[in-house]
Amino acid sequence: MHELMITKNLVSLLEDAVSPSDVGMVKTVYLEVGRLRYLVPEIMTACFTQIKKSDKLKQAKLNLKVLPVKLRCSDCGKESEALENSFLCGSCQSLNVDIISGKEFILKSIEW
Amino acid sequence: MVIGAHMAFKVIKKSILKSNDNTACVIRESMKKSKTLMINIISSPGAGKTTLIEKIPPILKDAGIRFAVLTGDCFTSNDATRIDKTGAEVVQINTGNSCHIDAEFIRSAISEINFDGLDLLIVENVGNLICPAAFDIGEDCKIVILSVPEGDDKPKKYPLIFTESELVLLNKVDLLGYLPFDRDECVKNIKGVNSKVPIIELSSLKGDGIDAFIGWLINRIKIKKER
Repeated sequence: MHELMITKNLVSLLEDAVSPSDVGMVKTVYLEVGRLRYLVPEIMTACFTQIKKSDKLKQAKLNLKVLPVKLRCSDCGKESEALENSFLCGSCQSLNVDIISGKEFILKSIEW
Repeated sequence: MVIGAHMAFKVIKKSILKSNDNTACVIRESMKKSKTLMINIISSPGAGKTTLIEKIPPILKDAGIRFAVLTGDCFTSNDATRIDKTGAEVVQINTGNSCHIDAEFIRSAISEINFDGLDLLIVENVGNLICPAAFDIGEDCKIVILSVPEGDDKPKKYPLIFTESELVLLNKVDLLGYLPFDRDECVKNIKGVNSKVPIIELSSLKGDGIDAFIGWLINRIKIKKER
């Protein structure tokens, strides 16, 4: 249950983002979170509803996109998606891989 | 910014954990100045974090290493009491409802520690394999403890902490043979999510393998001093 702490951080970032006068009442907050982060979107949404926010954020809904785990192989150089939690190159099955996506924790944009 | 008829859009592209990460950077800078190695020990509840930390103070003292411990727990100070009995310098962090230590907890706790000549700061995180993995607390490295009774499949279930760790300690190996735990399968599962990570097998209760861990620590402290 790290969603509460993370959502508090998110709200504080959002308050900064909506402070300029040209930003209106926010409708949607777009987030990108890597699959490895184990965030539960429903819990995060529930936390977001509960946390006290300024007027511009009161109607905002979260749009959370979960990004897949992607690997780059150091042996064959190819990129592949890890479907299970065994990080093997999809082309040559090597374990000599780097995780290039799947750990994101990004506040992407807001729409109003 | 693009302004449409009734809609406007603003690209932000910032890490949600930006404020935590900024605090972690401040902590990392201060550890760099004092050349203190900071390790973040993470495991499930009951995997043996406190028992391991109880065992190492006399060995570290003999090796001439000055160290301190920050121990995290939601509510109790049981762990700090246990570690205090070993004569080690220890500060309890009570995280309340938080299931992990974040950088802000560390920043307030380290004000109680004298960093002059401190070689090693050990952080015992709250028992949990998911949440602590997500938070940078300014450490040099995360170390994960997996104990035999938990089962050999944990690296597959909680991959992030295993990919983020610089060392895996396989604890309670004295119970191998008594429990349905496949050691080779466990190693395969660990390597499956972090192929380069070293694994040290130990029993913090019986003391087997602790020397290997101390050897790893001393080497890591040396690397930090040379940086």
